[in-house]
Amino acid sequence: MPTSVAPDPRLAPSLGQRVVARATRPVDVASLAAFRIVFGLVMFAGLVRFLTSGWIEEMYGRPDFFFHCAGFAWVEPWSVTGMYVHYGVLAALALAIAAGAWHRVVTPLFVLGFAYTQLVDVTNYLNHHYLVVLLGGLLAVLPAHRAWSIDAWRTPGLATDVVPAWTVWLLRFQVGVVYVFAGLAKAQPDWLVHAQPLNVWMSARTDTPLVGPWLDERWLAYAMSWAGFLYDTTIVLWLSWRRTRVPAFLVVCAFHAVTGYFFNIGMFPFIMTTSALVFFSPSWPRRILGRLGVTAAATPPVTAGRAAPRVAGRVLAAVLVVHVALQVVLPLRHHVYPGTLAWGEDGMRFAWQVMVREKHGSVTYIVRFPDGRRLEVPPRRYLTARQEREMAGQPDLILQLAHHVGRDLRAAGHRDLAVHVETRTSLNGRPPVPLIDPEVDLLRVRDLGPRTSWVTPMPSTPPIHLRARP
Amino acid sequence: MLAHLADHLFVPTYAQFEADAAALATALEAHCAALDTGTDDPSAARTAWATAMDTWELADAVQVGPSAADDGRVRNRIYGWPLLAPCTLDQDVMVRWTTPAAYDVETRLDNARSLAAIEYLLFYTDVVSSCPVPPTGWDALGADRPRARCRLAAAVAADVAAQAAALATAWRPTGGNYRDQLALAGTASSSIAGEREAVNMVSDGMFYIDTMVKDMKLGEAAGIMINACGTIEEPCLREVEHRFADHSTPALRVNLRALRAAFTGTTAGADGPGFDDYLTAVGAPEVAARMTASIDAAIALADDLPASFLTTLTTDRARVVALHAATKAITDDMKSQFLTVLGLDIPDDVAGDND
Repeated sequence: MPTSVAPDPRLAPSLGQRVVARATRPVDVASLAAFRIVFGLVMFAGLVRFLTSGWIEEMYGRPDFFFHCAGFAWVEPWSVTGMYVHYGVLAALALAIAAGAWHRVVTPLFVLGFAYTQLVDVTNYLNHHYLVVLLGGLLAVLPAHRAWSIDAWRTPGLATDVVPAWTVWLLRFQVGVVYVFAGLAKAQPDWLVHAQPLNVWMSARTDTPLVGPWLDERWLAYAMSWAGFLYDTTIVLWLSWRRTRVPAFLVVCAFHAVTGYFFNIGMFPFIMTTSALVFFSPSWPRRILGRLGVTAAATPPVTAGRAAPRVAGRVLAAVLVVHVALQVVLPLRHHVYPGTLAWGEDGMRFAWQVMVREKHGSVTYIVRFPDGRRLEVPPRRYLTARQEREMAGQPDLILQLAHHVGRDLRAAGHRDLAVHVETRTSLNGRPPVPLIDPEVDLLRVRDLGPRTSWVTPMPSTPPIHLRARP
Repeated sequence: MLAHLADHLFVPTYAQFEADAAALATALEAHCAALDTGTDDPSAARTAWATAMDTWELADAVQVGPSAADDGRVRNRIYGWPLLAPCTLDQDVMVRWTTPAAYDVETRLDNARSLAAIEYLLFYTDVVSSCPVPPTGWDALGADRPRARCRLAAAVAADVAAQAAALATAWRPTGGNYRDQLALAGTASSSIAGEREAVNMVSDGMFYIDTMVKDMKLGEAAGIMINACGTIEEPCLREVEHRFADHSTPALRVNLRALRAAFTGTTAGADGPGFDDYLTAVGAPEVAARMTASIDAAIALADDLPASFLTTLTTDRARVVALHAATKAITDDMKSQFLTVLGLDIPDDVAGDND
């Protein structure tokens, strides 16, 4: 009489083993290769746009002073001609990325060169430029060049039609981080309860064709605020679920088309729309090619029973784990800092705080001398209008320039001076109030600890509520 | 608001300046003719200069359109301050006097022409040249020096009058019709893409109060800010606008009244929509009221200034410091809530990317 034997639970794979097995199973390389190609082309377009916009002169030629990230004060811009060459080389590197040529050299060079343009001056920082550095950095270590590339053509042994699943997951994670944290950044009263700053932004666009007359309606600002919040926080879910993926992608296209039209957000809509393609099946490019009649590349590879090529050593794996952890921790770090993020901006950068505040203000440095005399120094003495506008809402930049003013005056022979600052800052249309304590000598402040000793508390007044024009 | 400001502030001001600049050119020709006959009475020419200057200060305080284009090319040709090179003017005096055909105002830099140059030529009567080494023949001019200065002033005034006429024509419906460009922004009749862009142009013009009035005319002159003299809390007369004519006080009053006219829409001839109404309409009446009060407070302080700004600076500097503080109250609002509520950009900003 046969007897059944219960499986030994000790022999069943653990959760960790199952995750590793799924992460290392082979998947089609096509989406990874397509991502590399599209990323390179979008970067090329963005860099050509930059080269032809006149921004190089404005951002690197006109300023007399550049704001630096901590630890990168040594980064200086080339001459204006040098910056044109730099951006030209970046554009060429972007094309090489798209072509998959010398990937392991070209892509890191592109990432370093692009990061340099951001490190030259903090006022150049944009969330989507940070995203370019991150995506480029990931591409540099992923096997995205092992198909549909010059590298694979030059070195047939490199070519493969499958990669481990984790390589695609990593890109999905990176794109997902942007959406989720950009959504969480909107989970605050100004955005959800007061519909700001969308209300002020949309009210300023009433001369838009067709829809303009409705743009100053407050209900529309509320609808758009909540839609934006729900979109950002849930779109990764809808893109990840096979049944909702296509309509979700159409929503992605529509969302970024609308935001791209209304706001000057440069390449951001293109980057996010094309990046969302990583949520599709890894073979999606082959299906598209098949429909276009390119049958040679249209057949997905057989993955069942195959082993994915090993593409990461222990060191790289450790680096990627640290990267993933940082991507989760960095956007959350402001929760352990005192003060309100939108006001003191401690933890604002590298945190996907995308389009969540409208801040304008005036800044005047007050130099006090030991004999009681005072001297006002306007920021425009050092900054362009664009830099001054960016600085006016960011306490750490105000502090950096204060130290520079102090150095400048000391070099002119003044001793024992103190540099204070008078600020009047309006956040999301609130009445302007001091952002920095005017009694604090900023030369005695280092931006290392909590900013509460020199940045004022967030005003308790609500943001402005604009009404539709009669 | 744009049509009202165009019809009741910009167009009338440029038309008036055209007339005043022509009158100045005529008055200088008459003055030069009188000097040729031995009569040295510059008072009529000086009055004509002051009249033209006051009208231009009204236009200068809210530069919009043709005069502001190309980094203020036309503006600087009409009134180049703070660009002024007295030594170059002394050299031009000699050129114009000795070989008139060799002098061409077209080829001069803005620091050697414009109403600022005329002021120097009309009001600086010292026999000592402004050059470290006087131009060749300067000392030999003797009694002809006023005549030589007048000849150059007349040539420059003719150029200013021509620029003023061209500017007024650029605004007229029968000329360039910039009035319609501004008033009909966003329509097929205008090259200005949208109403917001046009409003932003006017707002940009109003920022004259920040850089020129608060910082340069008051802050640097009074030693409140870093200045060319290196003085701290002491006057720097070199930085004073109209230092030769001592005409700064009227200029400040006119600048502030021009700002008020643009902000409130209340001009000399009409009361219509202005930025205050715009702010009130979108739900920020407190911003409108606060800014109007700040402008009125500054005007009151300017009105209280003694006629001689140079004397006030040296004997009662506190008044200038108070006026500077009052203008800062205006600009603090302009740079913050005003821009946010109306969705405007700061001047000279570049339309770069955002996120």
